[in-house]
Amino acid sequence: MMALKGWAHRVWMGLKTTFIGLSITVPYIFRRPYTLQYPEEVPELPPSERGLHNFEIDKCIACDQCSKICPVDCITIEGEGKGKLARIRTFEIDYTKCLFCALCCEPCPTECIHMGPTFDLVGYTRDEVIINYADRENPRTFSEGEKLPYEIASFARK
Amino acid sequence: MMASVDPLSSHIAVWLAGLFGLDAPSWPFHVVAMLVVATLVVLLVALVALIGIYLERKIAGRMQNRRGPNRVGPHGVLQTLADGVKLLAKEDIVRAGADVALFRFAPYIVFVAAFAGYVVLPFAPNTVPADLNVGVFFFLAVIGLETIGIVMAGWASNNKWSLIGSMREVAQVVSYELPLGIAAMCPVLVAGTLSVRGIADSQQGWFWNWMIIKDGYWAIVMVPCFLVFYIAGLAAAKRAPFDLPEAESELVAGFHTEYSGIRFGMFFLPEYAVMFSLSAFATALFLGGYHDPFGLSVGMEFGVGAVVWGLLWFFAKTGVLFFSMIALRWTLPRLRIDQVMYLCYKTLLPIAMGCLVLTALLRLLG
Repeated sequence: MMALKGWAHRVWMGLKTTFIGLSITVPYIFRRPYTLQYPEEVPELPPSERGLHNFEIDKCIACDQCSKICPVDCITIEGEGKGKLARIRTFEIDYTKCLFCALCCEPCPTECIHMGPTFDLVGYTRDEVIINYADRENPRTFSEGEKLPYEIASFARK
Repeated sequence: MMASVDPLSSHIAVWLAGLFGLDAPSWPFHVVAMLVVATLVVLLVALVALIGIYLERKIAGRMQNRRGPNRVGPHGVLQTLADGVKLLAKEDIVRAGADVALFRFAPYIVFVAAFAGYVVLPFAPNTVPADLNVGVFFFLAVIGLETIGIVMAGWASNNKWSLIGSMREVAQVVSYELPLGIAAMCPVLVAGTLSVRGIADSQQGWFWNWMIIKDGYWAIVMVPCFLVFYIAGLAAAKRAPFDLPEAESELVAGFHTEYSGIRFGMFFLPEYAVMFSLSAFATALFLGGYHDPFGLSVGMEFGVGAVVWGLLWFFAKTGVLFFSMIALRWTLPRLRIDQVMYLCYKTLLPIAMGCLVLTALLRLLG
């Protein structure tokens, strides 16, 4: 009799636990999925996100500070002129090396380099991910969203 | 004992003969009509698999907070079609060391077994591909045939995973077939016929005529009986938690590890075809078949309206069971083979036997 009782209990528990499981999984069907349709939908990143750099070409005085502090030597700078009149000719960041540490933003005397929110840089060759920010013919343009973090950063520094 | 209805093909043959101004169809009309019905059933199987696979992936996605397929066509509805075309275009590999003849032949047995089960399903009033007077036996026997194809595939693959998978299938078959068959006998005893259409027609009228709650008091026997049939049916369709022959986390892909291209498709498609035909069979046996729950079909004259009305309720009830099978797959973990044995021999079989004895007693007394 005890054995039969145990058997009935196991049958009942089998059914009960199945329905408990279903009552957890089935409501999920009617919830919104969390998946972000990435190329169409861009994730909302915090303003402190360290993505590709934002570079203000007119402020730069080609002082080479950022290049010197860079731990992986990914910044190449060529300038012309002297002192405060100096103007930048090449400002290349090699994103195959860059580790997004934001150390380059710290020593800049004119606050012309900031970390932006863009995180998806793709190319078919390694050369395609070396960006020359000082290219005056086709400069990298920033969207409204990309400008925001640099404004916050310069506000914080004051 | 109710008279059996003519097979669907004879209705079509009469209609075709009518087009040519003949009173009685001669044999060419019957042949053409049979081909038409066979084509319709093949199309239904393909459609069920296409929609079933899409639903499965979509529901699985939603249950895991994902979206499921949504790239091919609106909301991804053409994904299965694209996958089918991909499978057709893929190379048909027969591995070295395989038993070539058996290897090539196995998928056909599985496919034909899944397809043949549809023959006895009552889709709507007077719409049965063939109303066999041993329909229940035929269906259970034909569903069991699939195992032979799977064992052939597992043996011919010459691969340890395939062999383990097919051995598990055999072990599973001998355990689930008993409760499945005995549970199916209870509605047969109550209806007094082995014809699936006859059992479905005996449940016409309000929903308390349905086998599962027949006149209220039958629910004591029929609800456990239906649950046993449903659980054993899950095992027959090789669905989780009984998907041991496939067991992708343990056996790569089980018995179809070595298959590629359309031969893999011929293992994949019948899984959904069997799921659907078992749901439809359970509907016919326990849930009133194609009859609506409000007795509206009682006085209905046979015609297009009655057929559409019947098809509607048939697909609605079958769809609910189909959905529950998908939901269960993504809810329960897979059983071990000894747990499957325990469940089938020590739990389902005694319950099914008890139900059968009780049904027989209730029939004798009442």
